[in-house]
Order: sequence, then C-alpha cells, then structure tokens
Amino acid sequence: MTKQIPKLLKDAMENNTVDVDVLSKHLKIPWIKLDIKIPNLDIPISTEDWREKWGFKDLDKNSYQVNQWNGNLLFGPTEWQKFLDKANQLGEQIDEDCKCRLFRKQFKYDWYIEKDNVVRKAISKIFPDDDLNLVNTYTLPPGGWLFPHRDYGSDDLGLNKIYVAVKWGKGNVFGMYGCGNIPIEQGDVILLNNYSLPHWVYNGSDDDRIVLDISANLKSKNISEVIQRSFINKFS
Amino acid sequence: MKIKIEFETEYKKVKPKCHVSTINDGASFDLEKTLTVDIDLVVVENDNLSIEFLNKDDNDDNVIKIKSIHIDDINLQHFIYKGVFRPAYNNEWYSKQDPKPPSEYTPCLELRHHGIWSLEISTPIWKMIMEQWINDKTDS
Repeated sequence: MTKQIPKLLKDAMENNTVDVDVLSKHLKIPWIKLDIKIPNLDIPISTEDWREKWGFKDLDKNSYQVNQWNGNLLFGPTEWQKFLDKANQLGEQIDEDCKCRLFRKQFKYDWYIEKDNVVRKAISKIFPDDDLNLVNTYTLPPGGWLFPHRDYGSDDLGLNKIYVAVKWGKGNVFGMYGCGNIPIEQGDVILLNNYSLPHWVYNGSDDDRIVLDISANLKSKNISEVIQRSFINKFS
Repeated sequence: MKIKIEFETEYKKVKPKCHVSTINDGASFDLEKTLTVDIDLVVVENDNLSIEFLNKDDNDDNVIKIKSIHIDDINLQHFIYKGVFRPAYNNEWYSKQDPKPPSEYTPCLELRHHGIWSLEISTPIWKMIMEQWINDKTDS
C-alpha cells in the first residue's frame, strides 16, 4: 500500500475513535444497553406529584396520557420556581431533561437527598455533581402506564437519557415504535433516545416498577468510557 | 370502523346539521349544543374523514366545533389539528370582503361557514399516529 495518501484520509484513519458527541447527536439509534450494572437500590414509590411539580397544565394524574405514572426529583435546580418560570417559557413540549440541560449554567443545581443516601452514593461514583443535569425516579405501580408519545428537545439530541431499571419485574413493557420492546431486565442501564421515536411503558407485573432517570454530561470521563466500550461491543 | 366525534355547537334557533363521511361511506346528523356522534363507517387504507357543515345560517350565526375524534377507539388527540377546513363562502358576503378571506384554514376546529373540514387518515390508526409523531418536525 502506498504511503502517499491524502492528508485528510491519513488524519481520519489515524484519529477516528468512538465519539460520544457523534453517537448522541447524530446517530438516531433508539437505545444502547450499557455495559454496567447498578447495584440493587432501595427506592420507594414516588410521593411527589411529578406533573404538578413541573407545572404541567393537565394535572389529572389518571388522564389519557398517564395512569399512575409519577416521579421524584433527586438532583436538579435548587431555586425551583425561578428555574421553572424560565424553563417553561420554552413551552410544554420540551422535556424535563432538556430544560435542566439548557439552564445548567444559569442556576445552582444540587441534590435533594442526603449525602449518605444509597442512590446518591451510587450515582456519585460515576458522575461528579458538575456533570449532572437532572436525576429523578420514574415510578409506576402495577397496571400503570405512560401512553404512546414522543419527547421533544431543543438541541436535536438522540441518545441522551441514562435509564436505570432499578426495579423491573416480569411483565413490564417499554415499547419503542418500529423496534419492538426494549429488552430490559432489572439492573440494566440503558442509554435511551426518547426524542426520535414514539414510545410507551406499561407495568404488567405485580410489583412497582422503579426507574432512575439520569440526564448528565455524557462526555463525563467515567460514563463516556462506558458508552464507547458498550458501542464497540454492540456493533463489533 | 368505529368513529366517535364529540361536537359542541353555537346557535340561536337553527341547530347545525353536518354530514360525516369517508371516501365510501357517510351519515348526516342534527347536532345539539353538545353531542357525541358514534358511527360505523367503511374506512379504506388511505382515506379522508370529512365533516360538512350543511346548514350555515348567517342570521343565526350557528357554529360547529369539533372537540375530539376517536377512530377505532383511538383518540386522535392533537392530530385533529392537521385537519383542513375549506369554506364555501356565501357569495354575497364574500364579494364584500376586502381583503378576501383564505380559501382554507388549518389548524381549524371551528366551522363558521358552510364548507367541508377534512382530515387525511390511514389504517391501522395506531400506526398512523406513530408515523405522525415520527414525522413531527416540532424538534429544532
């Protein structure tokens, strides 16, 4: 093979690595299962009204869109009402992850749970606080659902949400249109693209379904290595 | 296929009448202040759901409002805003307008003139809704 090759080709061949920015912003694949496991975490069912917390106009918890779906805020903006006033100017369609990502530098963010909380300790092992935008639970008791919908961001992201199946009994469904159901088992950690395709969840098990949702800087050292490794493993 | 349409109307004395149709089927209704119409119409794979305002009365100023549409027991939700209303203006009224009103309105769920509101639909309905989400360009 000749060594006289164009510089562009040479540079590309020498420097091309798995780039988290490219994976998250340009690849619209629906999910990647990450090669990590989160230890069993004891997370209670949400007591907070997630929709009321975010000022969603339709406050009917058992409305057409959701049935008993809920969540607790664990990490996020501390000046909540100020943040919400600003974030909701973006419109209701922009999802919570994106709102927290967009205003990360404008507001102070911190944990809503104690330092010795097991969830906080588990997440802090992977992410420094500065790389977190939002951490929350999503909880769904047996028979609960989240209707088919698509989430919207403002920054054209694809893979974005780190989705930890903390408690996921047999009979739980996470459907992704055109892709079948995501093969999730308890303890799995998924990098999820909730922006490109309609999706839905249903708890057909006999137990509560508990999920940890993490919006973070995916270029954060620990997680970017996991994403790169997981991508190579899946597509090699 | 089952079609359920929830209407609200405004009128003084002249109750609005409408004709609900698909390409190959249809039925007419006298509406009340609020009325939910349940019908079973033939729906082909690529079809058109139409609602024609039959008796617009300019003196009464009666109005038909479409509040929701279910097809095959599925709520079309906000996708009903994709419907287009093409009014057949009263000639005398139209001639006096300057500038002229538009030939069609979308989004539009209030029928304030004689004319036909229509929505392109395809079956299966669940798949139509998923495809509309995929093709929704709301995201920047």
